[in-house]
Amino acid sequence: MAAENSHIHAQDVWRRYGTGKKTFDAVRGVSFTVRPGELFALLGTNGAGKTSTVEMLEGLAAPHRGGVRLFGTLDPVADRARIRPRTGAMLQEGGFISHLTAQETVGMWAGLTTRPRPVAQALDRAGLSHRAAVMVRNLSGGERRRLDLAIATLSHPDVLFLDEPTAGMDVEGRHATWQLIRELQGRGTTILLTTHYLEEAESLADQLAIMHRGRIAASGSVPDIVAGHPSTLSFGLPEQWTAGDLPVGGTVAERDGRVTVTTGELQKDAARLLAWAESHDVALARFTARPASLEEAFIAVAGRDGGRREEGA
Amino acid sequence: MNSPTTQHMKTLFRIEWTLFHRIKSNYVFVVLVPAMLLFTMRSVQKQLPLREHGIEAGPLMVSTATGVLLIFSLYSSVTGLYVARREELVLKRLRTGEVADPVILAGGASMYVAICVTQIVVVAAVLSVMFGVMPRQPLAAAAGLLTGIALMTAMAATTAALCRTVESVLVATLPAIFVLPMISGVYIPREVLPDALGEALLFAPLSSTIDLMRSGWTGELTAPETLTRTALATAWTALFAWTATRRFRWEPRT
Repeated sequence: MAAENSHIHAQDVWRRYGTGKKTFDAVRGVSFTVRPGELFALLGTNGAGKTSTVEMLEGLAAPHRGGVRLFGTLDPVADRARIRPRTGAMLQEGGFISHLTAQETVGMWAGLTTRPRPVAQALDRAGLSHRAAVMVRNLSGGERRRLDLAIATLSHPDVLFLDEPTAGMDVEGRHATWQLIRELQGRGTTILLTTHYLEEAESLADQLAIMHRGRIAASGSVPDIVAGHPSTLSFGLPEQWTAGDLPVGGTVAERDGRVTVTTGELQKDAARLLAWAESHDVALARFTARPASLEEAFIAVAGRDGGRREEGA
Repeated sequence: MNSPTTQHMKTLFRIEWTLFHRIKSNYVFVVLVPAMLLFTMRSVQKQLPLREHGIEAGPLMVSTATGVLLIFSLYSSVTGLYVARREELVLKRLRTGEVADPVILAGGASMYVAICVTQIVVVAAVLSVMFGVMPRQPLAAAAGLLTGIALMTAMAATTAALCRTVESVLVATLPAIFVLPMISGVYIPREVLPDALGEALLFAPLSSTIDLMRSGWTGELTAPETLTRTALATAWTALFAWTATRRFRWEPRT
């Protein structure tokens, strides 16, 4: 997709830390495009380069190589003054003055923002009205994340960057935040979020990318990504039969009387297996057939290279 | 006019004003310490052969007070402010918003600038009455005040660039707190020192500001001398500002 029609466009972006011989490329040739109104999730293990990537998109750091464009043609660093009234951002952590109350913190940001929503409304949306007079240092980790989200969305942004928005939240807080994110999606806000929670990405994202060692190892919609990974057939087999009797390809494993077939051709193998069971009058106990989950796809990507770190340029 | 920049400055000023009063230890560093130093320096200066060098006690105290307040109320406070805000990731967070980088720094410092200017004006007025001296070159005094504020703010940003933690601020500001007043004529006027040394120390960062402030009450500097000192102070400010621009860190080192 052309950069001109996108809200976020990264093209072969690299980010290098350090100088001379002690350099480390945290982001290595990342490219992706986020269309207007889309929610794009960046997944990855710790140190995969997600935050380093987001910081370049936010304009907090310039790419060492490659280019980033927001709203089609704007450079996040050079065109910062034009971009910022249209974007909101939530850092991975911190960014608050601990001696201010939640209300004072939102009030401060309202004074630094073009056309902010009312402070009381922002606190209410984040579920923090009852904590308005509490010092930031006395808020829980989850409450601080909600306060951060309230600030990031204070100006009705067209593009929103959320770096691990639900980290440290309890289940209730996480679902409330998801609801708020869905509302923003519904209003056409373009959102880029990073997360460790696969369930979060699966639930919210239109498109996602799995980063590994500074590169995008897999990208697309959830069905696109899991389609590249083997599906699973699982069932119990009567004692007189063994796994070797089954007419299926893929990998067959048997444990505690339960057989698991891992296959790249779910439909064909399932059909063959059911036909075989029918013809041999075999009852396959608790038969299940399911495609790969996002978690399995993620683990397959994250487990590549045996966890070896690559350092130096 | 209420441009976005003005609005941002006002907001950051208001927040720092709130925080200044909320954290009581600020009063110690910004009010008590400079006041104690001034009383001490008055005693020290009484022992100096000021009359032999044609130095009036009143204008000297005005320039001493200016130097002390610029260093304690402004320089050390703003250095601590920048480092603390950086450690809390507040500077980084502010950079994700609409505020321009220079405004983030200027807005945070503006409250301490206001306090420092107020302190200097009040102390200078009190000293003028006490010693019975009136300003003879108000423009020189104004130039001294402006260059001093710009210089100390730029120096604070540079010092903050060198500090890794809030704890290291104390160590990093020591040279400015102890050495700068000694070599810039804040405590002991340069005229009292050996001629060659006194003349060489004119080029110390704060000397020009101190000379300008004193001349505000004595009228001792000619117009070219006033311009030279203004240019010198501006050059130091430009050097520190340039260094800060290149070296200032917006987030903690990892």
